[in-house]
Amino acid sequence: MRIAICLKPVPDLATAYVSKSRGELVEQSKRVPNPADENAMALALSLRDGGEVAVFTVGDEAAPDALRPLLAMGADRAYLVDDEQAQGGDALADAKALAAAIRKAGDFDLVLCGASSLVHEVGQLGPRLAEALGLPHATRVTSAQISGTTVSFSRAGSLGEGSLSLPAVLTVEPGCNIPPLPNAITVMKAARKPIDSVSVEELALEPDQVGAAGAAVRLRLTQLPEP
Amino acid sequence: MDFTFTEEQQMLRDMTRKFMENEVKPLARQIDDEEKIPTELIAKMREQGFFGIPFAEEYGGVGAGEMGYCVVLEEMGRGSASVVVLLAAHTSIGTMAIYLDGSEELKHKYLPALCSGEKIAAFALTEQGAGSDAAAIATTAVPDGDDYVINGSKLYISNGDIADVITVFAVTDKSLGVRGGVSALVVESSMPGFSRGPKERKMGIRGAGTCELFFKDVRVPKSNVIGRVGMGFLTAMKTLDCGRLSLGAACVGAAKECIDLSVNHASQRVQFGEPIIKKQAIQWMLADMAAETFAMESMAYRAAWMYDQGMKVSREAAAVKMFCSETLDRIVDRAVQIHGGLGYMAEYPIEMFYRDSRINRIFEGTNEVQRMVIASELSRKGRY
Amino acid sequence: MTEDSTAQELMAAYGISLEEETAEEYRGLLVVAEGQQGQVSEASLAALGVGRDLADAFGARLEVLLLGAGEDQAPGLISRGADAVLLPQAPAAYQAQAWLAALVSAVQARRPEVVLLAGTDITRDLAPRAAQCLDTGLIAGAQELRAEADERLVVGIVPLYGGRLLGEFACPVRRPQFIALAEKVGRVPSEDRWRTGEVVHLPA
Repeated sequence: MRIAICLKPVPDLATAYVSKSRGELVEQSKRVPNPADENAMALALSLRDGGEVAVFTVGDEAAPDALRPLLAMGADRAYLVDDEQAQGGDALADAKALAAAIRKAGDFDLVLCGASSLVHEVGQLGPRLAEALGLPHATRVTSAQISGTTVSFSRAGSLGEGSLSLPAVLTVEPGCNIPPLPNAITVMKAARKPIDSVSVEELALEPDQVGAAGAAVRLRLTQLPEP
Repeated sequence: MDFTFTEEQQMLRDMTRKFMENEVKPLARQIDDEEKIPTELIAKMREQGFFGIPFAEEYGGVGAGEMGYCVVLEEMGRGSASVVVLLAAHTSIGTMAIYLDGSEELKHKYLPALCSGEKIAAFALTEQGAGSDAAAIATTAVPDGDDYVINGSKLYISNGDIADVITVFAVTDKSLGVRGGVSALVVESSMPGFSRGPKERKMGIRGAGTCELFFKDVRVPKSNVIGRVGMGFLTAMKTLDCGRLSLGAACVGAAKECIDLSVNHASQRVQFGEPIIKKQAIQWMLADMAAETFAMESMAYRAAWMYDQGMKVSREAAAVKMFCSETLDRIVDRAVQIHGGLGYMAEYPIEMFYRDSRINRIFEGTNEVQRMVIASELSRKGRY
Repeated sequence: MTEDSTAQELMAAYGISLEEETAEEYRGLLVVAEGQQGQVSEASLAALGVGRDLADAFGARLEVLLLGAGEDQAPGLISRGADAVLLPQAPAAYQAQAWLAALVSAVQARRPEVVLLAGTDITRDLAPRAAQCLDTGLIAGAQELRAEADERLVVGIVPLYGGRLLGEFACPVRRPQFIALAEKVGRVPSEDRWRTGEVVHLPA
């Protein structure tokens, strides 16, 4: 099984705080993996059957901090779309960048990502990625099994059980599939696993498709909720 | 000077912290009460790779060096001193002797199983008549054909109750005394003639097994000598340097945990109309504890760094051991005082830290011996 | 006054310029309504209520795309604010591919400037994929909406970081603006039986 994981680096909410005067989140330490993406990684580890697990992310120089824990968990390599043009995108733009990076890295049987992020409670990336890759998808997966070229799964919420033929995209519900603690050996090995830098040009994408230029939705401002 | 920890060290720290919080801390009281570390916990520690942290990958180790090892011990020190002793006696003295001075053949024979934790190591130097005066050991190793035959006994050996592989220091030539007359040999617990005494009951680190070891005509192949015959004392000193450094790191972890518990308690305990953390007496105690911990932390990691650079650190290791053990005692004492009556009660972990801390000034060479090491180096060098 | 100038005066009076008409290909709101066991869900009706308020602010038409329920539900939707109910060729039970095709072709046929959905498991599955297919933006999990009529923009207020902050999102250029409400937003509107509307059967 070749499995691709899409990772979103997020602020470390354990140390970040909300600035009342600026109405913004102020980060105080390194970025961390989005928890639901770690659950996706844990599911991938249970399904990998000796195959490869690669992590894909769009990010800047802060992204490797969030990638290394997944490498420590057992991913084999990571791809980081880090050129400036790819930054500041929304789900539409990022899905295009990630889909292109995944396609370029070869054929994957399964693409997994978290069903939601720490930032936005409702995730969009999974179904968008599936559309960009031309693959079937399912959301809020809590458990899954592979049998031949079919993946069957249970889902949180009302959609219940289902199955899809591979290759497919699954989004993984947070809280299920607890990520295993890396052991000391995989921690040390993680430092040596490759994080490949990928440019927009290498992905054969037009600059107006990705990053801030390719974003449809803009965050205009943030503010404190009413007490 | 770059004082930051590497990414791997940070990840090791995070992983150990999580393991300590989830698996070790909840069992700390039980480990103390029952005077035993559950085998399931030891199995989990094996899975996490905790038994091979500083050793090179080619021997099955994790390859994190002394720095990585100190990070792991610091985090473990926050949870249970008994678990720290199990790990440290195995790693920084038991296995380390073979790692530092053993032949390639000997290392490949024993290190893989020790690094994986499949086998547990112990370091057997101390005897009834030879504590601080380590040169006074009486256990003998007499050559006989292809073997050495070991006779004698060892006292207060950490991991003595469960160790499979024991580094034993014995006299191979009485006439040469310490310089050339003592050798280090690897004894396996399965060898005939080897037996263990009952576990000692102790003031603290009660979960760590400590006992006497008896050697009655134990035959050990000559290939099991660590390094060269007669060089055992040197091996012992080198190994103890490593052990002393890492002991400092474990003290740092215990100190930080005591401070965290004390700050938490003082923030909630209301007396005379406000939380006691507002009282200057308490604030000054906490400030002293924090400043002292910063000093402990700085010296322990600096010495570990020096060790990994290949620098000679005997004096620094002795200073770390001496300073950290004495400082931790003072920190834990103040932690008890800040907690008041609660600090004395078994329902709360502080009293365990208090009892567990005391051994640090005694084992791995008493602080008197550490002072001897430092003084003799000063006098030999003629200056700092 | 010639007929032409009358037309121009009329257009000027209504604030419409010829250029705007051809440039603005997208007009009106599309609310996606889900049926459960043949009945339009409460969440969808609440979304219809929110949609109607937006449509009124824009002076725009509101159409409802009805998935998972039949024509018998149309009168209830019209009386609650729909100017038209669109009935696609799609299975009654949720099938990802078929419902996606129905939504995408409805958007392509009707060209709404806003597509509004309730926050359900189905819309979480469906809306992002439809938005990607249509190369446009989706504001998901909005707990409150604000109409900026001059720009014909809907601003969505979305909780961030588990509610520690609120973010104001907008989709300024691309059309349609997809908006999925957070769960339990809006109220089922009351019925006005005097309202009229049409029922449109969409081709496959």
